[in-house]
Amino acid sequence: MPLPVQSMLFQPPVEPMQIDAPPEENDNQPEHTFTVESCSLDLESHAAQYTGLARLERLVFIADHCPPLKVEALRMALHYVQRTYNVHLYQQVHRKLQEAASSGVVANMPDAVAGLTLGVPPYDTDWVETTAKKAALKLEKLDTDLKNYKGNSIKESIRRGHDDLGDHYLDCGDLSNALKCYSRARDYCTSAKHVVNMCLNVIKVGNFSPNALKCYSRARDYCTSAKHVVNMCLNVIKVGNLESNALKCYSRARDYCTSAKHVVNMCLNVIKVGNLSRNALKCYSRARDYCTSAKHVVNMCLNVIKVGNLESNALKCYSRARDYCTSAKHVVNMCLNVIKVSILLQNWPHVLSYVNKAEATPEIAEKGERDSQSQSVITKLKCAAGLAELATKKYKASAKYFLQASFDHCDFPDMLSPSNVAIYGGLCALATFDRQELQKNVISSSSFKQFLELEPQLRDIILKFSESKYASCLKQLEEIKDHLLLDMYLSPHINSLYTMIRNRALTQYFSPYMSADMRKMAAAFNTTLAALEDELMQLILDGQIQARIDSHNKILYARDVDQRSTTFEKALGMGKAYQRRTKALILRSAMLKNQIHVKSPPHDSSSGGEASIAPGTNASNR
Amino acid sequence: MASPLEQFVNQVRALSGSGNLRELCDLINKSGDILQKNAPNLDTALGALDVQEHSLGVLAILCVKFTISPLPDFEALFAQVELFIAACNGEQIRFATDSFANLCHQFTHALVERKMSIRGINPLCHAIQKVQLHPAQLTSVHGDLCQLCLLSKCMKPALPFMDTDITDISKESGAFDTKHFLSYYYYGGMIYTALKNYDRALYFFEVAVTTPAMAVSHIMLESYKKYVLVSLILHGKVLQLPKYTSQVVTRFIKPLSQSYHDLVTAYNTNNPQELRSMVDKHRDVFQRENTYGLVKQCLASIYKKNIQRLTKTFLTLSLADMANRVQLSGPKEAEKYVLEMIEDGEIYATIDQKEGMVNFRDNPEKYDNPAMLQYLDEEMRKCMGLDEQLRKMDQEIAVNPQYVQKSMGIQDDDLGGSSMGSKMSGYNL
Repeated sequence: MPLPVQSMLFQPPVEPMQIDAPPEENDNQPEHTFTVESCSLDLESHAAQYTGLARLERLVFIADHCPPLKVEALRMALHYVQRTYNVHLYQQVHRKLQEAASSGVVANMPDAVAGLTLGVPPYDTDWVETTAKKAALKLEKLDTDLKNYKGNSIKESIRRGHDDLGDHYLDCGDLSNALKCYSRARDYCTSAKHVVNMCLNVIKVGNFSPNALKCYSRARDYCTSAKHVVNMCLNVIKVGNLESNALKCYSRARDYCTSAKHVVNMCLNVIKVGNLSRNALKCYSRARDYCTSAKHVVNMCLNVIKVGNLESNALKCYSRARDYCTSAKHVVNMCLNVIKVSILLQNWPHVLSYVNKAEATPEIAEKGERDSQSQSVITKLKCAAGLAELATKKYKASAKYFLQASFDHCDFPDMLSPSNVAIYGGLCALATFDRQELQKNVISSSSFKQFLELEPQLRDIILKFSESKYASCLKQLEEIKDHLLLDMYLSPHINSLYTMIRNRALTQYFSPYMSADMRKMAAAFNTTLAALEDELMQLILDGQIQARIDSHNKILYARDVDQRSTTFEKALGMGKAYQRRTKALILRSAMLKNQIHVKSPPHDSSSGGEASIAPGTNASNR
Repeated sequence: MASPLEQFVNQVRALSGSGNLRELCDLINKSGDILQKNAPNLDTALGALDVQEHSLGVLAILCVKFTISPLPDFEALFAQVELFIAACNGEQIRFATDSFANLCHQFTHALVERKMSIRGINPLCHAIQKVQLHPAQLTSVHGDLCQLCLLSKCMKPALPFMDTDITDISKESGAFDTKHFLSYYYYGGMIYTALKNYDRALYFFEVAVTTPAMAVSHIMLESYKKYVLVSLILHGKVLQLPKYTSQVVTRFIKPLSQSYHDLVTAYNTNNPQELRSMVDKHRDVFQRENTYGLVKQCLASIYKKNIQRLTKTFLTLSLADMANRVQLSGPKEAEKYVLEMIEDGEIYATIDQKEGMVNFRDNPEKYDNPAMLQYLDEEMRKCMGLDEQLRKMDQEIAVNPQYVQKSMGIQDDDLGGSSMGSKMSGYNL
């Protein structure tokens, strides 16, 4: 039994699900919403988390979903596939790589040249042939070995022989044969461990639900402790990701649970895999029976919610936990938990309301001395509120919240990192604060300074902005844009934040002038005259800059408004509107006096009614 | 010989002579059948009555004559009606405004059928003047007049009536139907649109659209469509309808005018290309609903609107640049548009042909000349006049016994009377 394979299968469950999810989300995002030109995902370390087929499949997946990384991912896949006997996959990957290379470069370049420029290895015919030959040889050898074992009828050897043969098939990418071999080994299993291993092998190959179920039932007979059952179930579910399995396993494992903790853990495991609300709820009710304290309930609820991502659960759990709260501290804790969940659910109004709730508790509301724990709670609350405001596009409020975070107590990796706080807060402040606010609250704020130290680039940007060095400020902003785009909370807002920052820079630049040379302005903003003109036009139309453009001399003039004329204009407009409205109202009162209204004729309410009042010479002369 | 017809004529003469008009009206209402039965002899009866002295009798006979189908001698009838309207006694007529209006409707209908609309305009103008108590009173004949003007493409005669703002509606013994009201404002809006008085047209369409409604009226639907288009042409956006607009509009009429809403969306992008493609997409609908002409005007107005936007942002702009920005074909076309707009007073600018530049200016009006002062004075007078009118109306309500009774809290009828509408209608019954 090859151990690495097993460890590979066991590795993912160690990671919590949320950590598992983001990389995939990032992979998907470019395809759906935008294309990240330079994806900062470290492909090598990403790939190193996996071995065997899993690595290959991950790489191919990335190649399919993230254009900038496509060639790189495929090349790595190609490289890795050569270590196996999988000729078929090699051909597939190579073809994809070639396609990617030729489509990426100018179309009229010949394939070979294109391949060379992008470093596409030429098709290795030798390797294919020798590998195929080697594979055949090994197959033959294993086959004869197995026959020998069978002749000797030593069960353990036969089992190993089958396993080896299955491994080989798997290596070659021949899944159906591998499956056959592994399942054949079943007859020769002598211990529970063997069975489990065997099942694992089978499951690894076919991630098909029927097999998973079969294996499960087989392995169960050998399990002696709850832990075994849970582990085993977990494995099964991991591969065959079916609701029914999860439920079955759950009920099975329950019989072996002896403590509340076991139940919760077990439930958690089950839910983690089958992420269904029904399960989550069931587990919850089950686990509740074992909970002895409020803390347990909250924890348990939290766990459930974390996995089963349903709002209704969150609310239920919350209300459940509240009943157990006995002190202000408990309430705060409870709120924090709910906030955490709401953030995961992206239920922003909820986050805000609980932040308020938590802040209203006496412990937080007291302004006196605060120990470090309550400080950290406050920071956490502020950050959660900031995040919620950010998500709801209230950037200014968001900036204000983030700026209230205290650096020394900013430690909650399950929500945000300090550098996140720096970036979110800094960008939002840049986009919404005016010069003075920026100076007072961001640059000279001692606590936020510490945050900014974590993101020196952003600190530079903010400083440059306040020093009116807009060109380099904007340039640096552009440089970190790709990096920011891969932040799951920030990426939807990057474009609007950037536009706001740019507009603010433009208005600030022009504010002291009566007239400004647009050529100089374009240079200061590192843009062309035409582009600047368009931008300014938009700003003027939005009313952000009071100015007009002299396109002939390329000068921007501040607009001087003749108050007297505008007052006259306004007054006349108002008078006209008044006359019009009053006339309409007088007419209307006459209408009501005479009871003029369209009514449905008594005989038929729908179609006949319309016809009877239709004008005979409708739209006559148009 | 005492045939029923003769009896009728005699009674009419007698009652008219004694000035007992109310009784006469009752008689006429009762004798509809008699007249109907003696249709061939009506002309004789007519001959026995004097238009001036026995107006009510003549009116009754003429009304019946229109019901005979087919009309035996239209020319003769036309002459009779024309004479009657010109010479009838207004005082008598006002006792039977419903039959008089009815006569006008039938007269109009007959003319429209015979495609001789233009001939009816003059008589109807007289008719309205005869039957109105004061110039600001709306009668159901107004709608007929507008229809005739519109059909004959001779708009001017209706303008004096339409330019007067209506403050009162003639009851016409309960015969004044919402249809007449709606068709007046719809046709009126069309006339103003045809004359390119868009502001007034918009007002007329708005009145039609905001008429209280419990059901969908086709006139309202058509008015709404035109309201949208005219609003686009005039303001470049669709103005919000007043709050009192009936729910029927949002619930039924808006969904029924989807093509027009699409057009508005395309217009709001400020992109002529997009608007054009949207127009092409719904061309069939617009052509079928006879609004294609207005739609084409919308298309032209988007260029003007874009040029107007430019004046807000630029002091000078080359014609080529302008053509580029508003997506016109070239400097030539841009120049043409700018020229037109300067002439129409829509923008204030000068064209420098040597350099190919346009210089945008602010409104040259400095509000410091006598003419402007006079204009301001006039506007203020108008506002004050309206204010006065409102005060009078308020007074009228305040001294209305029924209103006083209700507002004192003495509830002697089971009507709640909570809303303004039911109150107003309540004490005017």
